[in-house]
Amino acid sequence: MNDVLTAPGRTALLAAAVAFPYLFPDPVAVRAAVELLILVLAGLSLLPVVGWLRTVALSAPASAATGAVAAATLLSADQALPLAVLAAGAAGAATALVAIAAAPRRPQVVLPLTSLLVTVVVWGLLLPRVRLVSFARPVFVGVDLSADRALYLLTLAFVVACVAATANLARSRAGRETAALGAAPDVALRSGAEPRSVWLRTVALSGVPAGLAGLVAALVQQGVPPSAMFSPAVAMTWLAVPLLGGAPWISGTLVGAAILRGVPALTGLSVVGVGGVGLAVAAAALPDGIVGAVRAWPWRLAERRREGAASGSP
Amino acid sequence: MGETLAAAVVPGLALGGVLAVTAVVAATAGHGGAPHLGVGALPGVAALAAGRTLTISPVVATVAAVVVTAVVALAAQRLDVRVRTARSPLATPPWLADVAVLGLLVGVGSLLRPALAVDLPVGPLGGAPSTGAGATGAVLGLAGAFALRARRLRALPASAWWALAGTVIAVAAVPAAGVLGGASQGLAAAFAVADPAGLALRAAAVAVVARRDPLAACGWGLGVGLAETLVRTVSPLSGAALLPAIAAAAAGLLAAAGRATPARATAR
Repeated sequence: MNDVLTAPGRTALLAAAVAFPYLFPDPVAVRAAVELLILVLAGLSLLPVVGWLRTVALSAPASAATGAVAAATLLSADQALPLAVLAAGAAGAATALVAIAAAPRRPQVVLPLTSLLVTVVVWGLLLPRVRLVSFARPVFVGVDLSADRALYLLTLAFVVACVAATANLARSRAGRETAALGAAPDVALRSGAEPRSVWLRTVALSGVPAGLAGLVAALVQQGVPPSAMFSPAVAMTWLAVPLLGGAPWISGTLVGAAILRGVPALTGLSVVGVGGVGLAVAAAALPDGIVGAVRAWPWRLAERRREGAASGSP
Repeated sequence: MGETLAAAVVPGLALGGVLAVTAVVAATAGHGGAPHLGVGALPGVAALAAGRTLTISPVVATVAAVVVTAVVALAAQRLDVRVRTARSPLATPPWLADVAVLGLLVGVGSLLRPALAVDLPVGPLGGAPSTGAGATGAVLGLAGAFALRARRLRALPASAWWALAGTVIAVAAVPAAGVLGGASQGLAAAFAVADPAGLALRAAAVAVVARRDPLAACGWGLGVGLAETLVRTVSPLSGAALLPAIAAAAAGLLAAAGRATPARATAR
């Protein structure tokens, strides 16, 4: 799970992200950047499940939807933002847990179906019944979030926190157990991993960034976002983020989100359209995503040179 | 109440016919006894392709829908085979091929959507067909469900069968979606567009309960179509329109569990 993005690269990327709203203060650009960060949060939520456990999961929009509803309900009742953050993360994790709890056996096979079912139920049955609420964006530690730049920086803080948490998880014993269970279940079992607890822990944690994505969507809309933002079609787009960029790596999520938000912005095509086609391309032609292809490039080049030298020798 | 029921019958039959043929395709294209999750989005692609070309003429719209759906079905088959075979079994997550096909069809459908489309709660096919068009779509869908399970057609190469399935689905979906009736209304095609992902879910639900039996697919398809349209007519914004499809899927899963239990007991 070693990432191609080194520490200097991460620092430079973070500096560029912080400077972005000051270099491009146009509200349309800042709003587009917030949407990109929502896509990054969605991709980070899928990274441990798709990248490490090597399983298709489609419940991220449901986690985001419940996170958005929980946050909007609290903020409309004049509760503090930190409480809404906690509630959104917890709601996202609880929703993800429902999907994995419904797959007690062979979760790698059953989770795709139960996660899709959870998304369908939340999108089709629960969201239309949610009472529409609205609120003014709150002031948080003296910063008025009604300005789009402040909202962008808050979302960036969420992304940085989730990236740090994911990187720490990857280095931890729990992260190594998760990756081992996805790559070689027999070896993981022999090393003492408890598959059920690994699945529950990983899927529950994956719901937290999705819940935060829902919170940000609620802050953007200043209320419960429309249900179309959390549809099964959106689940395809969100799944394309890690698959297209490179599922096991954080840099893959960043690359995938940049492509899936950048191409529609440049061409005028719909995000869901680009996401669906991107998912198909990634599944068919990029087994390890763009980052995986870039990582393998020097090795492939050396291999080709060696083959060329071997065929040219007498 | 009588008028409400009557208003729900034709769109319900039309949706039922399309679900029947799509469920048969999903059940036949599936692997390991499970229906294919993605291929059920094909009627949505057909309806959206017809809607985009409707301003030229209804005939062109029908031909365009058939050609686009057949080509997309062929591409979906190639994608399905490639994802299932190109990767090593260890690296291929279960259901990735199905989800990739669904992603492709939802993506193509989204790219075919009019730029200023307005979603209205009129059903997953995205329109209200006239009596004649709805009945035509229903009959074509039911006939297509039986035709595609015919032994001669099943003997075709997989790519030819998928392209044929796309053609049959498009022929049924275009009249059933009520797209052609919008030709005289100018901008009407931009309002209420089809939902490929929603159609895929409903088709998979019908395929779960009907398996590969075309008669059962027709029965469950018509039941789900009529029930959903009735719910939409009575309470358009309740969000309960998905319940018939969810009930069908639950019935199918329970039946599958019932079939599996005695086998395990015997083996023991």
